Amino acid sequence: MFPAVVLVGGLSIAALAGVISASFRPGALIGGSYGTEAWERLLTDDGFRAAIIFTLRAALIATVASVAVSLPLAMALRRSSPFTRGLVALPLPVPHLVIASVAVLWLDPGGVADRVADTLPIIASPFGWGVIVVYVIKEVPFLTLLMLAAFGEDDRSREEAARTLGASRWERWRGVLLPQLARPVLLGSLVVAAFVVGSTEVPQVVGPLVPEAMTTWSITIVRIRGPIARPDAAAALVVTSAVVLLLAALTLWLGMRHGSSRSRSTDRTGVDES
Amino acid sequence: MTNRLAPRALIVAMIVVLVGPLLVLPIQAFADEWRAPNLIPQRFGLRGIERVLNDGLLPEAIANSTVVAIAAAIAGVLVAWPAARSLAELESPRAVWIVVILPLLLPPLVVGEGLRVWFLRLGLADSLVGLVLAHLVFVVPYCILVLTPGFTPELRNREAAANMLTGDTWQRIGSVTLPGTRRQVALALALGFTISWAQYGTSLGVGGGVAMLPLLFVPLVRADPQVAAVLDLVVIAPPLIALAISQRRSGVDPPPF
Repeated sequence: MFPAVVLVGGLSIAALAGVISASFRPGALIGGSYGTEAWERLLTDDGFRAAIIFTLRAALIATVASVAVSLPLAMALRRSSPFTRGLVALPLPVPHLVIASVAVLWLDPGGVADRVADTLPIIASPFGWGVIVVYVIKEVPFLTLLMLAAFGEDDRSREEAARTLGASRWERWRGVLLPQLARPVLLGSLVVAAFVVGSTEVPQVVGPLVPEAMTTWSITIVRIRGPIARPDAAAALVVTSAVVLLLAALTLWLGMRHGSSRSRSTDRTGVDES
Repeated sequence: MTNRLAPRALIVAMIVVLVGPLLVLPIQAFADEWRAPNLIPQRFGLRGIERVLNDGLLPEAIANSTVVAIAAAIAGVLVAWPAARSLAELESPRAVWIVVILPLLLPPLVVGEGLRVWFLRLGLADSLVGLVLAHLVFVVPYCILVLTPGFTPELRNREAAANMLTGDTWQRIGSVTLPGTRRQVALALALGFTISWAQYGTSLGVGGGVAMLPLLFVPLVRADPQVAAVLDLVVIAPPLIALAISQRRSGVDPPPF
C-alpha cells in the first residue's frame, strides 16, 4: 500500500502545491518575491468570469443530460446480452480526444451530419453545445454501466416480490429500483461533473474561442501574453482545482453518509436493505 | 408488445448514436478528397498514412508516446501490486478506496502544470522520465482498481499452501500468484498503457517540449481531418484491445464506490 499512496498522494499534493505556489510567486525560478497581483488580475478579468460560467454550465447540462439518457438505457439493458452491453460500453475506453475529433467530423459546418440531414452545426457554439454533446456521448456508457452494476443479480426477484405484493409499476420503480440506483447516480454524476470541469482537450477541440473553459483560458492567456502570464494561468488552475475538489468532497461526504446509513439499516433489520 | 419494443428501440438508437459516429473514421482516414456537400469521398488514397509516416514530428511523437505508455503501464502495475494486495485483504476498505481514487478527479492540466514547477528544478521537465512520473498519478489508481479483485481468498489460500510446500517467495509468485492473477495483470497493463497513451493535459504541462501524440493531434483535428482520422485510429487501437481483454474476463466487477 505504502509505495502507491506515497507516489500518487505525493505527486498529487506536489502538483496542487506547485500551481498554488506559481500563482503567488511570479518568477519563482529566478527567486521572485511573493505577491497577490495575479489573483487581483484574475478576479477582475471578465474573460475568466465568462470561463467560469461557461465551464459550470457545460458541466451541469452534460451531467443532467447524461443521467437522463443513461437511466432509461440501464433499465432497458437489464435483461440484455453481454454482447449488447459491450456495444453500449464501446465508447467507454475511447479517449475523449477521439470522441471530440469524431464530433468535429460530424457536427462541424460542412460535417457529415450537415451533409446528410442539414443539421445545425453545433461545434464551437458559444453556448458550449459541442462540449456538452461530447461529454454526453462519453459519459452515458460510464453511468449506464455504473447503474447496471448497482442493480445486482437479485433485482428481478425483488421486483417480482413487489409485483406479487400488489405494487404498481410506479411503486416498484420508486420502492425497489430507485433506492438501488440513488447512490451510483449521485456519485457518478459528481464524478462526471468533476471530469467536465477539469477537462482540457475537449473544450480545446470542440469549444468556442470565446467564452473559453477555465482550463483552456489558462493556456490561451500564456499563449497571448507570454510567460509573464503564467501566475495568472496558475491562479485559474487553482480555481479549477477548488471546484473539482469541492465536487470530490461532496462525493466523499455522500458516499460516507450513504455507507453509514446503510450500516444502520442493516444493523436494525439484520439484513442489508440496499 | 409495445412494452418490449420500446427498450429494444432505445438500445438500438443508443448504439447507433454512441458507436455509429466512430465508423466514419476509416472512411475519412482514406479520403484524399471529401468536400461538402458530397456524401461519399471524391477520391480515396493513402495521403493520410503517408503524411503520418513521413512528417518530421509525428513518427517521433508516436514513438515517444509508446515508450512513455509502456513504461507508465509497467511502473503502474509494479506500484499498484502491493496496494491491491493490501486492499483485497482489508475487511472494510471503503475509506482506503476513496483515498486511492480521489487523485483521478484532479484536472490533468493541474497535475501537469503543478508538477512542472518542481520538475523544472529537478531537471525532469520536458523529459520522458518526467512524463512517466506525471502519468503515474492517473495510471496507478486504475491499476489498483483492476488488480484488487484478482487477490481472492482462494488465491491467498493457494499461496499459503505453496509457501508451506516450498518456502520460496519467488517460486510461489511464479507458480501460484502470477498464473492466478494473469488476467488482471494483463488488463491493468492494457489499461495503464491506454491511460498514459491518451494523456493530454498532463503531457502539455510537464512535457510541452517533447513531441507526444496527443499534443500534435489536437491542432490537426481542424487543420487536416484526414491525418487526424489516421491518428484517431492509432489512438483508438490500444483502448479497444483493452476492452477486448476486459470482455474476455469471466465477470466484470463493479466500481468500488
